[in-house]
Amino acid sequence: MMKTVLKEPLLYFLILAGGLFLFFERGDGGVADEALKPEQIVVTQGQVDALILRFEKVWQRHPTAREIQGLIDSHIREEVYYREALAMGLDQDDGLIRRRLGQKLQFLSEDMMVVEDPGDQVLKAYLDAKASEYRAPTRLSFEHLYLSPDLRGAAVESDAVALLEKLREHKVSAELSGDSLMVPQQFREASESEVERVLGPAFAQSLLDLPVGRWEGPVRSGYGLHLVRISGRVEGSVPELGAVRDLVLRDWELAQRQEANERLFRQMRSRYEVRVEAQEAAAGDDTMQSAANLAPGRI
Amino acid sequence: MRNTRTPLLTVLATVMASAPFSAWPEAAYPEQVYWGDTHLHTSNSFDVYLFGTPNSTPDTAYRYAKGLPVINPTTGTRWQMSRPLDFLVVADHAELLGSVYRLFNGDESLRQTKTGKAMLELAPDRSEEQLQEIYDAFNYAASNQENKLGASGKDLYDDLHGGDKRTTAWHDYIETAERHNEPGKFTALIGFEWSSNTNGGNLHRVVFQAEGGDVAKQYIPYSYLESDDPEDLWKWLETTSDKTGATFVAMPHNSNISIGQMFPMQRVNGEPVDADYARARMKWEPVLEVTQIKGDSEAHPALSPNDEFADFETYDFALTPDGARPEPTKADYVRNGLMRGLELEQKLGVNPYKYGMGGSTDSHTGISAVQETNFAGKGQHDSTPERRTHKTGIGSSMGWDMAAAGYVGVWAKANTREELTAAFKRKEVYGTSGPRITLRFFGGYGLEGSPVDNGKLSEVGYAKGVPMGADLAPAEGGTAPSFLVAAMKDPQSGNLDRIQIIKGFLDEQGVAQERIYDVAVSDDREIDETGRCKTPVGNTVDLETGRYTNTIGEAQLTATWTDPDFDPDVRAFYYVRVLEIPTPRYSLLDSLALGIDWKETNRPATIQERAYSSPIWYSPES
Repeated sequence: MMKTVLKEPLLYFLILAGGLFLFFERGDGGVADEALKPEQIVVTQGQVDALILRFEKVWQRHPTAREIQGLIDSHIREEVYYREALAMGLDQDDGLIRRRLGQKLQFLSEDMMVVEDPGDQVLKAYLDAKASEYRAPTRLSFEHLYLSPDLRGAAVESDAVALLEKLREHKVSAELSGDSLMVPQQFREASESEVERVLGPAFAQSLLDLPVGRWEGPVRSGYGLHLVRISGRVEGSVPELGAVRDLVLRDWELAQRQEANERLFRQMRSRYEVRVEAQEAAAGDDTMQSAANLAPGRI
Repeated sequence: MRNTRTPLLTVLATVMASAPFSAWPEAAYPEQVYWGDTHLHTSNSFDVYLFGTPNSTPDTAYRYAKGLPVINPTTGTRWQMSRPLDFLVVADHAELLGSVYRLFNGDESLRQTKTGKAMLELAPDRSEEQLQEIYDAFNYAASNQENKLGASGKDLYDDLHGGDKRTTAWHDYIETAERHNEPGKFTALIGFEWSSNTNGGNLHRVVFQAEGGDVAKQYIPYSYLESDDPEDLWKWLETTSDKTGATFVAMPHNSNISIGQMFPMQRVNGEPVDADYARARMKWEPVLEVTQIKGDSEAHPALSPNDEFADFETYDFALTPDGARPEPTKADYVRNGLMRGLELEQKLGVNPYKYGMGGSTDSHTGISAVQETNFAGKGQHDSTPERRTHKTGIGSSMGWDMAAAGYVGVWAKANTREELTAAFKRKEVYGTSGPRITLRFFGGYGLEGSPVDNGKLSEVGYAKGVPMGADLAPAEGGTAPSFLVAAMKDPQSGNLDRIQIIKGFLDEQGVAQERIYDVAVSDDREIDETGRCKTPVGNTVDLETGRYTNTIGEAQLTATWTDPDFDPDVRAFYYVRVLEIPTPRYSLLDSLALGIDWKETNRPATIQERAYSSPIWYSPES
């Protein structure tokens, strides 16, 4: 058992974290006195310095001798209360303390992570693996004619079919056909989401399936019917790393942190045998990412 | 691709349509309306936290605005908008910014303070009731009245606000905004709210800036704990702008609950409003929120008795602990403020109340969810239909008194911090009660008979006239101005009932008057010789199912209109109000979900959603 533990990074984490704890709490960088008895309270020079520093930060001046004595007294008072409360187990059912301790552990693990630029090869691999998130959207250039149900009533469908035929046979000028709508008649290299914000999701979706070069339709939007001619289509593609390197690096770093946190948790979690006795829930996958940490997607 | 386009195609494009859509800002004038919310709160606001929403973050707010699914911070359930917004200002209260959140999450420097300790004692379990007690105590402490924390206003300041108490929260927020700002795609404007409550009156201003985090980190947000006098805010904006290069916009809101103080004749110091006051105010405050969750501030039925549409989302619950509902005054509603501005300009030579119109949510849920079909509520206390039968803790309001509103539409050349802020500065913005109605409004001379088709309207409008928010100089010979106006429905909402132009002007005694003209109405209804259409559009809402049909109203309305009562010697303003056909209010949908009579909500079953343009001002001086 002991041997397997030694091989785990978790142990190194705990040792290092323990060291940090002592360093910060004692403030003197020294090693804790092994022989410290439970009923002994030692206030080190380092701790007093830290108290003074905190005072200075709040009040923007150095404390007087009396104030320093006061700081030390209240520190001792706090320490006594703290130890007695711990001895009485008052930390046990306090949600605030539980959450705070968990947070501190997470902060420590994140602080210990030194994330360096891994170089193009790693980033390229990350980009390839997440290609769909970085893919530039397909862009369409098109013109459209609007047919208004308000103006044409029930005839709007047949009007659209008739107009489509005339357009295809070049019997009418597109510019002079169609009804008025406060939407540009021409779109240049517009992505699906850009079309969507003007003419709605259903319209934008139907456009992607239309062939290039001739009048098509009718296509329905929230305003009525449209005839559409797509003049150009630039297929979406995954950009070269150089074009999105900063973005990929940022996402990669975030992923590294999340992964490290998750790895640490899984290792700690594996040391427990968990049994949930409540009727409502079985011991589900509690290693699942919590809802609050839904990974930010890109649109 | 753009570079390979042949000259012929370019020429054709120019000939065929005035202004093709393009993802790149090539046009000479704004061709796109961008939609946003300039006023959203997260748990960094003390009240959000104290209403019982401890886990709302700016990150969630941005992701929701970008159209991504999030966990609603008030209910813990999945929420998503039907389509993304283009920009967002997370504007948390500058007062105690982030301190309550950080106190309850273990920040030592806050826990050690007298007020911090008292708060932890008053709310050991952080239950909703305990947190509400702290909220009430804050309100009393801020006005130095006795309270359960035993804290004075100064204690709040020293313990949770002053020094560098707010720096960490402010910097964390800025970094989140920087991460989410994607020029051209989604804009995260950095801002905060100055929340002055002089004598219980809402004098709040949201402040945002055009620049990035490097500029914002050079200051800490200004709050009412520094001063509750707006003149001091303007001074701070002036000096901070000089020092850091920040381009600020301040937006007042909720004049409806200002208790007679938003458009005053007197300054806070008791002196009469003068020209310097007017200049400072207009330098920093080009636009206000005409509509939002705490009600609509455009007009009040008692002040505008001839306006049958004035009683819309009326909300008069003052933010005083005693639950007062003060009578409306001319200093409380935007139309009256604009009118008073004309009177003061006549005397002072400067108009202190020359405001453009915006709309925003002021949501305290952490998400900008204000569609009638997707309303997340004002905050925790009205976050679900069940809870809306109760008091919200905000004044004496009940859940259903809140309005599911609003957003601001911005005519800008590109979706960037700079271009959006510039549009606010020139007031080329408009407010809506939620739906994304497209609205164009131009004023000029000789615009009668201009084409209003497709892109040509804006081409003519910009070439021959001025857009919303601008000034109109007199024409030679005193010709009456004409206006081009066009409105297009939100493709996901109700059809349009009518377009109105609302005019304010001075009479012979120098007293401001108002007049409403219907300029375009749907379904072939008549506009009579007084310029009004008194025939209602009808109502298709089925009160049993909450459904409506777009069989009445029209998808688009347009008009060119010349003022028939124009007097070239009289200063005036003109703004547009567009009304939708009646659609179900969220409270009707709630009542159906709860199986109760909709009348129990104490609110109408249906409403006519609307858009308000920024005005165009006419002045006899050129």
